[in-house]
Amino acid sequence: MARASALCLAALLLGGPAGIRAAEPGARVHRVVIEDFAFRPQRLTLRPGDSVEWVNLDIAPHTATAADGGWDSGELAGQASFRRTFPTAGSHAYLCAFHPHMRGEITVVAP
Amino acid sequence: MPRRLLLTSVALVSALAAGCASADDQVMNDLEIAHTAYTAGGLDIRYAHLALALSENDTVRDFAATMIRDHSAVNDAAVALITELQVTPQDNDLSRALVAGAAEKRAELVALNGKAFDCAYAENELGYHQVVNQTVEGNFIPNTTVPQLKALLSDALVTFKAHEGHAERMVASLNCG
Repeated sequence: MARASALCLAALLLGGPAGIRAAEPGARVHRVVIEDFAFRPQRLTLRPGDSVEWVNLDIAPHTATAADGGWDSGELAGQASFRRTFPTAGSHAYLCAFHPHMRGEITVVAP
Repeated sequence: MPRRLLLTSVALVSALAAGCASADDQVMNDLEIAHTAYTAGGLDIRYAHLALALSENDTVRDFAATMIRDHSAVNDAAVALITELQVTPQDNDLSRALVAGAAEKRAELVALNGKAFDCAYAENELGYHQVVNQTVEGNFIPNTTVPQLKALLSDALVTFKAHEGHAERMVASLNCG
C-alpha cells in the first residue's frame, strides 16, 4: 500500500492532471475586485500560466462567467472569491451571469 | 414615460411622500428607516416570486431571480446588523403604506398574463426602484445617525441603482409601447 501511494505521489509530481501540477515558474496571481457592480480592473493582460482571483466586495452575489460559457465561478456571495488559471494565449471575455451589464476581459499573451 | 409606469410612480411617490411628510412633525428615526428599507426589499422579493410564477419570458424571469438573490442578500446583511446592534426595527406609517400599495399592485399583476403581465411587472419594477432609490438617497441616508446603518444603506443603494438600470433595459427590450 505504501509503495502504491509512493508511486501515485511520484506520478503526480512528474506530470499528473493539469489541475494539480505545480505552478509554472514565475506565474503570477492577478486580483480582480468586484465592487459597485463592476470588475476592477475591467481589462487584464496575463502571461500563460498566470491566474486570476476574483473577490466579490459587494453585498449582492455575482459571478465571473466566460461569455462563451467555457468556465464559470458559480455564485460568489459577498467576500467570496474564485481563482482560475489561464494556461494558453488567447482572449477571454467574461461577464456576471446575474448582472450581464458587468463585463470584463482577460487577454493572455505569450512572452 | 408610459402611463402605467407613471401611475405606479405616482402611487409610490404618494406613499413615500406621505411617510416622509411626517418629517415636518417627526423625522423618521434609524429604527423606522431600517424597517422601511427592509420592508421595501421584502416587497420586491414578493413581486419577483409572482413573476417567476406567472412569466414565461426569460428576460423577466432572469430579472426576477436576480431581485430575489440580491434583495435577500441585502436583507440578510440588515438582519446581521440589527442582531449585532441588538435593536428592533420599528413599523411605521411609511412601511404600512408600502405594504398596502404593494398588495394592490400584486392584485393587479396577478390578474394579467403573457406580455401584459411582463410589461406591467417590468414597468412596476422600474418605477419602484426609481422612487425607492430617490427616497433612500435623499431621505434615508441623510437622516440615518448610526454609522453602520448609513454604510449599509449606501452599499444597498449601489445595488438598487444597478437594479434600476437593469429594469430600464428590461422595459426597453420588452417593447411594451
